Amino acid sequence: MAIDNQHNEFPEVTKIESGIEGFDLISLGGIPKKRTSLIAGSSGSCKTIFSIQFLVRGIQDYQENGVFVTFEETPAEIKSNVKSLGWDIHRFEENNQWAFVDASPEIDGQESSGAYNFMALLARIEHAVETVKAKRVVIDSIGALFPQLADADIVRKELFRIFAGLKLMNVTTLITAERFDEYGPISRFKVEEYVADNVIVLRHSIEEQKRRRTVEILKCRGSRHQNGEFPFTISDRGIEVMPLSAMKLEMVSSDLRIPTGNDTLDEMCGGGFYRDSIILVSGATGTGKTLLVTTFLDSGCNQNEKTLVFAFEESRSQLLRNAIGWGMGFNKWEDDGLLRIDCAYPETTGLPDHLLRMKEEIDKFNPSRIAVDSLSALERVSTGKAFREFVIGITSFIKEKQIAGLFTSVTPSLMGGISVTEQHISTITDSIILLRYVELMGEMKRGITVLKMRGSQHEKTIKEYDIDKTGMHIGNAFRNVGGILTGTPQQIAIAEDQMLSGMFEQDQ
Amino acid sequence: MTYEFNLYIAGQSAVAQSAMKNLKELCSEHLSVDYKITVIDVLKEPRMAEDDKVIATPTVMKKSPLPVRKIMGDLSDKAKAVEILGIPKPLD
Repeated sequence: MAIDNQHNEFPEVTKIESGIEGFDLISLGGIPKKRTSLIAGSSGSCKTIFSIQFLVRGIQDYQENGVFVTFEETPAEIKSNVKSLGWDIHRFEENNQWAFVDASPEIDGQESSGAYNFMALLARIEHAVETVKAKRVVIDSIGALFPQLADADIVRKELFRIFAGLKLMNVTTLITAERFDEYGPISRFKVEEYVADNVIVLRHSIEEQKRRRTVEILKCRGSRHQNGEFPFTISDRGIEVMPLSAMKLEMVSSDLRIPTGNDTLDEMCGGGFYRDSIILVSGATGTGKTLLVTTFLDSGCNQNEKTLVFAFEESRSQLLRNAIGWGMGFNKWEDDGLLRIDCAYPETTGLPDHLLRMKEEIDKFNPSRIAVDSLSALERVSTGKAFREFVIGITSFIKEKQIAGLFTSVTPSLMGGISVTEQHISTITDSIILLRYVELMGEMKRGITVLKMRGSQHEKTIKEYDIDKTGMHIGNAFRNVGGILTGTPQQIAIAEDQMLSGMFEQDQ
Repeated sequence: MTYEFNLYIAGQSAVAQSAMKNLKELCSEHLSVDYKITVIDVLKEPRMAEDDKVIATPTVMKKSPLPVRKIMGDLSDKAKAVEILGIPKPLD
């Protein structure tokens, strides 16, 4: 008698790509192959979308056909529900790539008299799997089976029979189950005891009036995965998980320098910004942050580079008017297709959706420089955690694409101090430029300094600058003044002879 | 008028046999008209189970007269089976 080799070996857990954007990064490879995984979540947590996407992408991207066993909605309902996501299940059915096993509730219910088992259901699933040669199976959702049938113990026992049967079919299975609380028992009907090897939890909670969806891999026996909750969002392409800390750190660092648009600033940075760096410009209102953004974009356009700006504070016309006022031909750059101005109110949507939209815009326009003016505006509308996730999300995305990114942040006080934005993101940025008001001997002056320039020498002094109608002009360093950054500048008294010797040196 | 039933079973098992026996007894006790029982083995004909949305075995489905009625189990609770399947009380 021939013995199947697989029963004799104990192969390592391999995984198949889930087809859910970002999920394979946090699960370090995807869904365990030929095993059963439980997707648990409260109602409305996108369990069904998650599982349908697993099948749809399996068919579209990995030539793996799917079987969908439904205990809840009818196949017709499911098909019309996901049409808006561009998923044409009907066409998959016609192509023999998708099969439904319809176990949705019937009007007169399921009455019973005496003993029974689920052999018929198992036979139907087996038949469907054979018919379309399926590699992926979804069962949605087993919780719906319990209210229909009186005896919960029989149902549990019979479900176990189904799960055992699925193992023999060599398919990868996702089973969805309901839960009551976001942080309570895994599922309502204790089915996880049978499929406890791999458990994925989907949550949706309201945090400071913002809806927040997350996915967490609770366990994945015999294999590694990232811990904790990862935010996800639903776009017109389905579920997208933001892997954040799990982002691949394979970005190549570039030595290439790009001009900032201001010659003196180039010098201060040791020769311009790095090609793939993230630069943070921090300053109080009126210190010229938007001007730096404008010159940065203009300098890119001048070199025939595509530039994209996300403006959350000023309208398009304001931006254009100011740029033209400073003598930069923004309307021409726009006409030439080198510049794109994307204005949005921060309040219109949540940060994950902003992030998604920005990524789409970047993908579509493919710029080599982007600017975000300002991050602080986005921070206003979010919670600390969500903001940090957003910043990590956008910065790692643009780094991966080797795009230079200029971000601005507004400091709350006019003199010195740092903003919350900076606390959150200063470690992520490669360069930090501070713009500060300096009050000296009854006069308001402005100072600029390069605080940080990763991987390069830079000027450490604080230089005075002016803004006129031709732009920003950086002058000499403040001498003999201390405490500028703390917001309390003080003239440092120095001995007269030192001052005199200094004067002579300058004269020579 | 003829009563038509489908009996869904999964192979020849003890529970399948007792379902068959109970269904026959029930028909002869309650029906004065002809009846016909078609046995469908879901292991051999899964397509039929799919079309009739049968998830459990044994399942008895009354196809005729309408309305269609379904009950799971081996019909050991005959009173309940009679009620669910909509079989009239015998005319004494």
